[in-house]
Amino acid sequence: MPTKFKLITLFIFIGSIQLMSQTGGVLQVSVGPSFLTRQDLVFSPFIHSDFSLLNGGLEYQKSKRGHQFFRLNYAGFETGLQTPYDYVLDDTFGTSYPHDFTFVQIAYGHGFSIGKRDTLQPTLGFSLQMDVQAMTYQYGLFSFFGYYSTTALNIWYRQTLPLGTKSRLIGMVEVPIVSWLTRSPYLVNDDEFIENTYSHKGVETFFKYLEDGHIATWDEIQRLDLGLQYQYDLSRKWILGAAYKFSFIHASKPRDLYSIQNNFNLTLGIKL
Amino acid sequence: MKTYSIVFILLSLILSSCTTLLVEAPANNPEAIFENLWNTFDEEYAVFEERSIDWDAQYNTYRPQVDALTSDDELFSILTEMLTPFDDGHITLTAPGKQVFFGNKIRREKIDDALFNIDVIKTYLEPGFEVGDDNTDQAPYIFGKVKDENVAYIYFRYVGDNFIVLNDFLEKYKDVNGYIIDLRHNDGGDFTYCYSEIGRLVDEERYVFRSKTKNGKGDNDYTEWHRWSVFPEGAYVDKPIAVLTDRYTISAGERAVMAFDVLPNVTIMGDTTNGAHATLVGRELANGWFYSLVIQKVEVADGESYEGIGIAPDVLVKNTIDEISNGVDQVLENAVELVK
Repeated sequence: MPTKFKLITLFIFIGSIQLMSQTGGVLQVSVGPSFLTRQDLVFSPFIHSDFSLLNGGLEYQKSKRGHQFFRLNYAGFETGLQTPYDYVLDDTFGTSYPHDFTFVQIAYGHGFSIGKRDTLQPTLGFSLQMDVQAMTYQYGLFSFFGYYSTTALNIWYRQTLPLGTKSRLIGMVEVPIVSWLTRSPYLVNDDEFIENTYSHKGVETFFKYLEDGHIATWDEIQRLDLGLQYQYDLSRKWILGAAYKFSFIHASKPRDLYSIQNNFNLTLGIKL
Repeated sequence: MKTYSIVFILLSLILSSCTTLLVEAPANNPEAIFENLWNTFDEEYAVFEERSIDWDAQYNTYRPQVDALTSDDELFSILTEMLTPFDDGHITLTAPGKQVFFGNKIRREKIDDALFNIDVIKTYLEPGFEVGDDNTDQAPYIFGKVKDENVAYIYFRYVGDNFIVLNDFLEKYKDVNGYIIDLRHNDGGDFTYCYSEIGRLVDEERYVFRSKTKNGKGDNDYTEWHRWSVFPEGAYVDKPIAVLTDRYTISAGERAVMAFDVLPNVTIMGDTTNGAHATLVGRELANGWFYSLVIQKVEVADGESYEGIGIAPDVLVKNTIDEISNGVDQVLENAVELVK
């Protein structure tokens, strides 16, 4: 594993463990449907969309002395231009399959109250976020693995709007300042891509793909995450809520990638 | 509240404008589908020259045959006719309910397919030979000792994780006089498994081939050449080896042949390989059909490209239908004579 990724992973884990070892935070689980619209010209000129229930996350946050969070999100999608069909291969039938996308996100963030310390609690902070998106594109007889990953230093802003004594609305916007970006090559694979698989060990290959990345700023990758969450205190311990999250990605190299994801989640939090 | 209204309006504008950023996808009608396939080949196919294809001429011939009323059957027929002159084993077209179109005539028409028969091969092996995973003709590998000879035989149906047994095979039969590695009817796969597992048969680092991949739409948009070599690893096996090939040895199977071909104690026997060994990529059309095309140029160690030609054997031997029907694999018997 390259040293820089060891350090990043270590930093996220140390931050997370340090955060979760503290009391007074909230552990929140979220599940719900997600809508994806994605166009990745490396793999296809077409726009792939899917509605998936395989979407959820886990987040621990603490709001004393600023705001800290650790989050882990997962989403899975299957999409194709047509419903799967049978074709004839010599004397047998073959079946086409949909493309398969798996998105995982892990992040640790730390922010500080800004402005007046009133009930709106405006908070500004930074986060270290790793997105790994693994794709399997199916083309009948053949399937091809693809990947997109960013490890980004984000800046975020969070604000709370009280809606009475027991409920509140929380908004958050997050954008990257700088990212380490790695993607599948221009035409899905090339010699460097193949060389990275030479060990035939999944983890080693994964980190070799990461290592092939480069620093990217807003001229190459634009990402925007917007979150809006309603929370209601069921009791002194439990918090029920509903959340909407919008994620937009555009990466221009080696070919345009657009990804628009809308998540609608139910959330359940417990005060620890 | 005014601030929140402004934020809400701004967010709504951002969200609604995002989908308009997407690149317009090709339309789902016969003419757009034809144009999409033709343009993709024009921008991404890497071996027009090697295959002696005038792609613009193909457009001029076939584009007028497509209009808005062209049926799916007609379109499939027109596209496959246009792709037939490539004779490329890596070109395919897949559509619902239809026989998959293979660009290569040998593969498409099953020419000489029956000259290789795994059941006949099994009769040459001593009882107890090993069959990978299952005992069907789809088994990933078969290996054993040739009856009445001090020769070991291994067959690889494709190039992938099945190559990991190569070292078990060499260890199990370390006292034989020679080896036969059968790559006939090898479907290809991931050649790096061959290159990573072949170390005991390699005496010193040996350059095998170089390749470059298209990385732009222009005719000359390629990555830098990438050199592929094989390296020694483990105790060197210095014994005669026969590698068997035929017209169905394709893709990564051919890259495996290239690697064996640079080893001094290897003799390639059988027929010329298929001649489709550059990396392919899959693509889809607006109506859900799939196709594949080649995106690389490859030059082997002698500096030549054999795309569309194939790797010729050192010793040309072909079975006949009569021989196979009578349980005789002449190619295998010749190989045994060579290495025993």
